[in-house]
Amino acid sequence: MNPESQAFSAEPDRVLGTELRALLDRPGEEEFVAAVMAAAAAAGVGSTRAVLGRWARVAVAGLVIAAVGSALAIQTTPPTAPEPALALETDWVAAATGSSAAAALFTSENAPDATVLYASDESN
Amino acid sequence: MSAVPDREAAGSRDDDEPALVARALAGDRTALGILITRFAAPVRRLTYAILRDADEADDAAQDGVLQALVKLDRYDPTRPFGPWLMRIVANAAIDRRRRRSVRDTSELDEALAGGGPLPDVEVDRRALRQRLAMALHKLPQRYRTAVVLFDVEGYSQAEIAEILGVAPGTVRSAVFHARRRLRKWLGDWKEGGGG
Repeated sequence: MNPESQAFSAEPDRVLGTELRALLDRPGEEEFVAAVMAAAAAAGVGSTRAVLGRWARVAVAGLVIAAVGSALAIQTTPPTAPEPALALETDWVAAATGSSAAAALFTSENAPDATVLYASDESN
Repeated sequence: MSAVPDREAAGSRDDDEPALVARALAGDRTALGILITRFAAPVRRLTYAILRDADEADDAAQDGVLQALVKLDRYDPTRPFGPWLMRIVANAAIDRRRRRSVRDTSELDEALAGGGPLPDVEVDRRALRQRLAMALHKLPQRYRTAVVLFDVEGYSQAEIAEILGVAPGTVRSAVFHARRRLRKWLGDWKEGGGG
């Protein structure tokens, strides 16, 4: 430990502090407070506008965060496969129509094949 | 005149300052007035110690306090308000000091020199103050600011380090050297029959 650390008192020197305070204190405190209050009012400190402005900033920041979050969520979510169309049971259709060609037509996920239609006509 | 540092003399009030700030932010001008009044004397002493000119000190104190009030919503209510405010005010005064060359004329000396015949006790006191003013002026600005914040305002070394943006060890050294020089100059004067 150096001599400076040993000699240093961590307590305020009250005698010295009192003398310095008397030296630095000046009249005019009320005028100072009034001047600061007036300047603060002119700057809009604590005004309704400032309060609303602060809330508006918070709201805008919240909206921006929500928008960015949504955009990121959309980008990062894997595309989901389209839900399959309600499959018609081939057997049920065949039983109802009495035609395997009709069953093939109604249950197929591909475009109708013209030959199937012709085959249906011929069978009737 | 108080014989104890400002914060101690005023009682422990740090804990209600975040509430006052919240009220001031919500538009409560009474709370704003309480805050400004509470810190008016300390900020004026601090800027006077830095600038050594009464008018400039008040201008710097006003600028600093106003800067703090404008960004009051950035104050962290979990921390003491005083050091936060004093840091902004100290920076305002130091910036102002950098922008102009310090006048050699000591206004403090002039303020203490006036008046007519005085009783012996008052003459002694005035002479002591004048001597102290001269001694304070001879200190480097960093020492002056540190000793005023520590011995007059009652801030801790850690708080002063935060206010001045330096390491706590630097504060300790500055206060140590400032006290030693002030005591030496005052001691020399007293031993020489001045007081």
